[in-house]
Amino acid sequence: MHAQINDTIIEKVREEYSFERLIKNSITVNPASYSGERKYSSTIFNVLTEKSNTPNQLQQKGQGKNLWGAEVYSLQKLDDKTSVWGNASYTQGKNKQVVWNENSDYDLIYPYVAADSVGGDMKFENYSFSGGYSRKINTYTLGITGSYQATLSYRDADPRPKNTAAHFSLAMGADKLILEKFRVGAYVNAEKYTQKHYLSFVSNQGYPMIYNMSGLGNYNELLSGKLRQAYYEGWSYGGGLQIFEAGNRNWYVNIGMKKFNLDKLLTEYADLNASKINEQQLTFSAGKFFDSEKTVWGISTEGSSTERKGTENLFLNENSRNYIQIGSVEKYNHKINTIIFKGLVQIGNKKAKSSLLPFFGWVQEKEKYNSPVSKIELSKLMYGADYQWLKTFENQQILSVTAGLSATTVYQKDALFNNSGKPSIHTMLQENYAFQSSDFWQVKLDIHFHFNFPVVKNAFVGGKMIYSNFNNGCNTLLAFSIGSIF
Amino acid sequence: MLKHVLRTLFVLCAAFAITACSSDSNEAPEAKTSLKLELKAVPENIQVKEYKNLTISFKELNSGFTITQELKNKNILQVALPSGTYNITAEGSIVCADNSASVEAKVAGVQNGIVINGNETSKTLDLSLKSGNSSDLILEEVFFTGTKTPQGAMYFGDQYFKITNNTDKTLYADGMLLIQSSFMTNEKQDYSPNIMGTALSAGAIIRIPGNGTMYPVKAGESIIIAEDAINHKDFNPSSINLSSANFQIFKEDSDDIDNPAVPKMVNVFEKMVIHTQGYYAYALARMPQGMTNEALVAQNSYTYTYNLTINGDVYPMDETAVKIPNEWITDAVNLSVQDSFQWLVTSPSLDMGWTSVATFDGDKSRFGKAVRRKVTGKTMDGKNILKDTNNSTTDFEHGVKPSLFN
Repeated sequence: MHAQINDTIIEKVREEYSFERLIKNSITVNPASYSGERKYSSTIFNVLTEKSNTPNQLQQKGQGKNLWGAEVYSLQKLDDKTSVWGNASYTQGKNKQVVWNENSDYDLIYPYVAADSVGGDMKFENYSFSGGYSRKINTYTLGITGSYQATLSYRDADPRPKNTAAHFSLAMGADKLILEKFRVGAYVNAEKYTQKHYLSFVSNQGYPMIYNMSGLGNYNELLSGKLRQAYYEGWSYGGGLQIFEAGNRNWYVNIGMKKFNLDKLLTEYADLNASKINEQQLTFSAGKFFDSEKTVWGISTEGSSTERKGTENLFLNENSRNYIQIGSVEKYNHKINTIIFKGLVQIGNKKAKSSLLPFFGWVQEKEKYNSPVSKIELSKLMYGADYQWLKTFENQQILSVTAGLSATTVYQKDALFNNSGKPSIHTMLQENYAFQSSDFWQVKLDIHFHFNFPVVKNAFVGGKMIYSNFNNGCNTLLAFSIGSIF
Repeated sequence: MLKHVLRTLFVLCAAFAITACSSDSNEAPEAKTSLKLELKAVPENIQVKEYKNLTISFKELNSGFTITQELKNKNILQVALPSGTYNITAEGSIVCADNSASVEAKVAGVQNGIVINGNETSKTLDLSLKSGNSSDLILEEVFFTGTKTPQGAMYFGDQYFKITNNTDKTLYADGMLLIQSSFMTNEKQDYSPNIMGTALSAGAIIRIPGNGTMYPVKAGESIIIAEDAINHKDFNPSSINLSSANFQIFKEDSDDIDNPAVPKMVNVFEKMVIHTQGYYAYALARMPQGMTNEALVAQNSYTYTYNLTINGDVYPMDETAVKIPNEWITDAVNLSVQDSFQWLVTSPSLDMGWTSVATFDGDKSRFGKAVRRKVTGKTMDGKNILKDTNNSTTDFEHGVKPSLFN
């Protein structure tokens, strides 16, 4: 009995690190298909700390992070038919030297951020909770999942932004077993996002110009300089279809789409609508895996096509207390298409397993602002491979070593910026573009060791290092975690 | 089965590639409005024989987009502009009939916050005759912000106007009016009647005393009109000594500080209170020979009305001011706050622009800073030649150290 429990722990750990499981992860976007991702019920608790230096990054996202956090994840198969899962995490830290962005969640709300050239370190705290439930009824599986995430970001020195963001999502889905061979599934999801932005200054010695940015360094002159508050409110709706082999998910095809709308409202002026984002995303993934007794091999592909459109409203400031909307114009457009192909070869036995994951991908990005004409066009190829060695020792000790090497080549690039604006904005655009259009190579090493202490059972320690070399320097990341899996 | 999956994969990739490419075509072109702009010389009684040449500049206030157009021998401009809110300025020359002879005159027009949207629209821009280069005294410097004490408290009373003779001959300051506008540059209302084409609406007027020859100002020299002509350093070490100012502003019945050694400005209309943020326009003017202070107020007082809207409620307002005909005015400067500027409160023929110290309302970095006219060169005897093109935006340096602080 004791040996059985230990065997199960080993299987849970092996499942946790399985490349095969991680690739097939895209099926779990449907809550009905979530619990089939793992064979075993498992609970993972870990405390982590991370330090990164990213001088090669969009300046709006900062030059690195220092953070620590704690996370607990659990999937419990209550019986053959019912599963529940949940996740809770807390992280806090600081985002170093963020300039030209005083908001949080840049990737969600860009390009409509409040910005200045001063910026500085931005502290943050994130809380997130999620949970889900699925149940098999005859040949059907039904699932539902929900999540809530709250983010607070702020700075203690001028300029002092305070951003409170909340993210709530709900998804429902079903799949059906057909001919005892494969499952066909469908899901829908909806998300609500809000961010409350407030900026203040304590110093009497004046303040920098606050720009109401509208994409590629352009900004609304009428709204710049004075605004201190904004409220972002957005909804996203999506859904998808999937089909996969019922037993081990040895083949799968997934397609999905998502629409996201976000309004920026100026709360100082009776919730005046300053701008809108309208984004549409199509995703697909597919894979096929072959399992012989000693070898597993497979191929998979994932792709996405995203188009973000930005519409600005135009104003007349009749007097200093009142803005009147006189029109609106769609000026911003950002398209990103990606496709990546992955292979998998896995050999070995229960004592030692080696996995190789070569990959090859293509990214095309077109970011454009209509008037004055500004644009960035990039086409990239990326290729590389990850290798994992998973070794089981005596006494239930397990070592996972993952090493990766990859390169990204920008084979086509073009940019045009509006030169008539502020010199400091122009410098920011040039520096961002130098990063975006730079070739880079990356090495990474991830080591996790699982062991048993007399008191703490099933503990693990882990460390991760990533080094990325760009034309103008390098980015580094170091992370360390301890935890337990049971 | 593998064959089947690979085929599915291929079809999906192809579908994805088509979606990725086809999304290129649906970009919305920017909406443009066809504008017909008529430029018209005012007042109506000017007989224009020819609109010789006009340069019209447009600035869209949201995007900062600017465009300049030239017109020769006509006064109607047809132009396609991106929709938006525009500031429009025009400058140029016209030929007008003057007692059977034709004279060429310079004209200028400014209109701020003009909404141009829809497919097509028509607007009219009034052009006023521009006064020539001033042959009289001009405002060289206005120090209106006050100072801050070493303890960080606001200190007032040390504000001053520096009035300079930018000509090459001696002028007399006697009788010169110093006028504060009744309208504020940060508060645009639909004031009725609109007299701006012909006169400045004055909210406060003070006058330099004298009989005509008592206060000569030599070429290139200046006089100082102080709010309080005392040594302010006695009260605030960060301030200045204004006890040797040429004139002081003295508000009767107000417990004002009086330095008996310094002549007082004559109060003509209302009390002049210098706003420390600078929301008014200031002007220098000469009354016609023989006109008294009392006659000026009696003959030129008028009541203007406007609707004040607060939180959607409309309050009808009326106030009294004094009309100062534009041709009396020798110099004018519009002051404002960068973030709050709404409109020019003088005719563009007097001042086509505005200058400022504060960046935003309540900007505490404004203290101890002034606006001062740019120096374009030196005379033979080493006096400054000041820039005076009747456009305060380009004529003045803003937020500079006041000259008396040196």
